[in-house]
Amino acid sequence: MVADLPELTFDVLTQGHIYARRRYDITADLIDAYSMAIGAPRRIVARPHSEAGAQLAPPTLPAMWTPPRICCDRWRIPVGGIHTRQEWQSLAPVFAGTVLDLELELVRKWIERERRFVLFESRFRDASSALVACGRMTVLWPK
Amino acid sequence: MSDSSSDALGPVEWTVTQQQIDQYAAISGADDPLHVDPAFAATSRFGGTIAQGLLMFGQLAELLVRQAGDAAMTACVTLDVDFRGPVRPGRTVRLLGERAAQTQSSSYALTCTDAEAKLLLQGRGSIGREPG
Repeated sequence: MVADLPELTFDVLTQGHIYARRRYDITADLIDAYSMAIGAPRRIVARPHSEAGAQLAPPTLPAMWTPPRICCDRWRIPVGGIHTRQEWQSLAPVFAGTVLDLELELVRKWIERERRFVLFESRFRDASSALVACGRMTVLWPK
Repeated sequence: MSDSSSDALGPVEWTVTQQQIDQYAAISGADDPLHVDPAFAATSRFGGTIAQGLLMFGQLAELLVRQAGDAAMTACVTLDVDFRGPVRPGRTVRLLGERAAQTQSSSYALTCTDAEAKLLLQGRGSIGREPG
């Protein structure tokens, strides 16, 4: 039950702590659904170093799992956070059938004009531990 | 696909619907009541539901990726976007990219504005060399 989890308040947040480790399967159906949401066409392209075609995910697809309310399953995240900035790097193509491991780290928290901000860094690695995407999300944390 | 040497991306007009917001919530887990519960959202400072920021972020990224052409589909993509205002269902937004620089990558200034030209998202994006 989510209600039984400890609340992740601003005071509890600790810089350098890993708040989520999750594994995600990139399926063809998921790629189709995400592509439809953002208005992207289905893309079948050749994998690197291969002639075979495969369904390619939009480069921002993994980013959808990076908000703390989505990936932090050991904490209750307070409602009302405002996403203020998103940085994202897609370093390698992600094809259907890929499994990605997410790690979410709090890299900074600060107070500015009485508003509480947090900066989370997300890193996605493939089965060979290669970094395929990473991002930084700034959130105005709810009081 | 567009010509990758173009100086402008779009503009593309898009009207987000509550159904799209709900569908995105279903696949991503971004089901905060501010996005999917009209009754709750009506009591918020936004006065109604708003689209997930990362849904709009994905739209803006697609504007950039679409430009790249098939040959660059597997290239590195970099984005840095500020969220300036909420996007509400039923409102039409305008997505636009303008070339910022041409070095090893194609870099664009990206914006999303509403019908009154108010900035909702603003940032930059680039598509670089294919990864090794």
